[in-house]
Amino acid sequence: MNSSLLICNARVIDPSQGLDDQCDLLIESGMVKSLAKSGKIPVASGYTTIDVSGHWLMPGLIDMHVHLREPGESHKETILTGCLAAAAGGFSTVACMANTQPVNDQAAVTAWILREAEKQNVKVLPIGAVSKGLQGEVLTEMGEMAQAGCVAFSDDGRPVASSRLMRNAMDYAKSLGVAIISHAEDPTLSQYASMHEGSHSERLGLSGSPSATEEIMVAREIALCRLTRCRVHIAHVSTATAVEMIRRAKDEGLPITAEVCPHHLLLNHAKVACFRSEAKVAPPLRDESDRLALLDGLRTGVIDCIASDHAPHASADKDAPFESCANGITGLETSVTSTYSLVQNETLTAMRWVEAMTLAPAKVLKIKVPTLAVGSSADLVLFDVKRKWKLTPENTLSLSHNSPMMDQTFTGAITATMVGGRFIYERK
Amino acid sequence: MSHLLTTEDLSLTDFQKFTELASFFENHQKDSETTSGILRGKTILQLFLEDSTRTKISFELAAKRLGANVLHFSISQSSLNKGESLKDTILTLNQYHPDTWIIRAPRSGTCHLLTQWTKSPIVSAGDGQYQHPTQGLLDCWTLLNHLPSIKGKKIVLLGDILHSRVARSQIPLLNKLGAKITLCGPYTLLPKSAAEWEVHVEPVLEKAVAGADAIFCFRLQKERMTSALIPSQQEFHRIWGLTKKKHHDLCPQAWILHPGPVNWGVELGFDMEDHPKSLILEQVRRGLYMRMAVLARVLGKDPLV
Repeated sequence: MNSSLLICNARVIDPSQGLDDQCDLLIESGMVKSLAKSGKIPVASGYTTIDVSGHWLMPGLIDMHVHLREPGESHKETILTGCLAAAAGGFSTVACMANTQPVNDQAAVTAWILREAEKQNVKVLPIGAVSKGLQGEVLTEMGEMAQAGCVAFSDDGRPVASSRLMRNAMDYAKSLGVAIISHAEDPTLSQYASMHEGSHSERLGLSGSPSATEEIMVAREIALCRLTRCRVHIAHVSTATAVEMIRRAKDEGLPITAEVCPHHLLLNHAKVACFRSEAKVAPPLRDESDRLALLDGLRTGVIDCIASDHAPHASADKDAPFESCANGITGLETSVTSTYSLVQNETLTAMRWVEAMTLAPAKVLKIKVPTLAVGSSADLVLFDVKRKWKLTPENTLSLSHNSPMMDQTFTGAITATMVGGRFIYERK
Repeated sequence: MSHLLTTEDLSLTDFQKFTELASFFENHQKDSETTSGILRGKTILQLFLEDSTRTKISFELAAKRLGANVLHFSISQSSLNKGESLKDTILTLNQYHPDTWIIRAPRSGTCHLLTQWTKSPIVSAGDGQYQHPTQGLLDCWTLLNHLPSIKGKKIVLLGDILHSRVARSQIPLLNKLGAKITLCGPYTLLPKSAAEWEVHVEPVLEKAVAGADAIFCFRLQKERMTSALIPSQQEFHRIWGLTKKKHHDLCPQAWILHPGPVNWGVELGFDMEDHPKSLILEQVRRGLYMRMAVLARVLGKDPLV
């Protein structure tokens, strides 16, 4: 490996420094040695120089909500393939949810995941379960799990039905300084649902989950946050009313944060017709007015983060009648490139977009903020804003292909992901 | 035409072709020489993932009257019970080259799913709560034999509309025929997006049925009580059941239709069993001819074309 690499003529977008400018970046021994306006770093002999005109250069991105399926469901994804997909998608850090088999509800499972993760180029941060076995009855040993490496706690996939248990989880998590991540759906109201309740569900004869399913739980989490003052993060917000409730909670000064998924930002429930199982997800794709409110929430910062909720499923899990097939959409490889369309159409500034995948999730998880500041590890991603590419099952690195964006052509492609000065992914 | 999965995409011309052919088969019911050769050599596979009486029998009889070979496959006697997947089952049965499939399924969208795995046309014989297109066709045809024009007529759909695949098949056809549709029942059993269905909603039965020209009633499933959508069959009957007296007082001219099976004493009063305005058995009879028409047209063997 060359000890000095000079990356020239990139548009560098680094929210940690409030920087958005045409710059050159010098990397030495895996660290950022200098960062300056293009042409300002003198080229010395022995430098390897690459000209990346037309590229954006950003700090290594974080996807704070993915399902890596290991242990237990390695036919859907493994920690290895999930990390390969992450790197291809521009992410050098992912936080993985606890609904594996066995559930990540004890330090031994956390340690196993981290042992597997150590072999990968991408940093994997486990999120521990709130309740043992995701059963919603008994708290997990959050203290030991946090010590073992869990960065937050969530029963994602199985909303915590009991308000009392959730209250206790928040009180307990607060004493440990970690956030509780809520999958905010009232499981009694969404009991038979397989999509958003609305004109499409009624036309298709599918039982729907009304927006109230989410609103009820977000209202509860806000009330419990007010009671406990624990840091609470609302996962995959999908409704307009929830955005408004979170805005008011933030105005009130409560320690609430939120994330939104690319599929909720870009698609609505019309995508389900006629019975497209790839578009089945929880919370479901909702109405166009919800989608527009989510865009606005992300733009204004009411919603802090973009997270993919990468939920791989084998084809057999989706090859079933709509009501019985699995919930979930893959997203690691499309999250950045699909949401880039929102920068193109000027819904988001480039800075806000990058912030939602760097600074914002780092603050939620209380981890090191991704930065290109001089002296930091050279973790970065190169994004070619003009390059077109098509997502196909053949070029997918994830083991699973359950995306409603399959066979879609995107403008803008991750061309390289670097960790510690070493390329961990380069697009052919 | 290829599949018949929904009535939503049928034009008025399509509807007329079905009714003309159904009438033809009705008029030639004693003339087996004309009908029995139409589907000779064709193999029709009936895949029933859910129980059925009249739909199954009428499809089977329709296919046999047209001279087709009919294979019947039901879930209780199949490897689906041993855990074979639906996809493997379809791929397996494909090897016998069925010319068409007749599918009855408990889950909405099963017919659409199956179109991915077979090239032969699929006729839906009831697809979850989504559609039951042949029932919609035969119901409208039956009514047309008593109301020569449906245009501007007040047609009431009474009872559990939300979970009814039959209502979902009737409404697009009735709309195309120009009916003024009113949905009536408790809000727990009505769609919230009625405006997009081009229908009027009136939960009060006395207002809904007043002056109606026809009333389509629907079976109230037992599950609606266990899932707490209504408190009891008795209360439902008192408020939304159609009795002889309500019919006499509010809409004496209204024809009564029901796709069956009827829960007497629930959606319809016991005193409605032999009502002169009831078309319920006529629906059953006409179902046979409509299904003959559907099979002949789906297989490209319409004798009138």
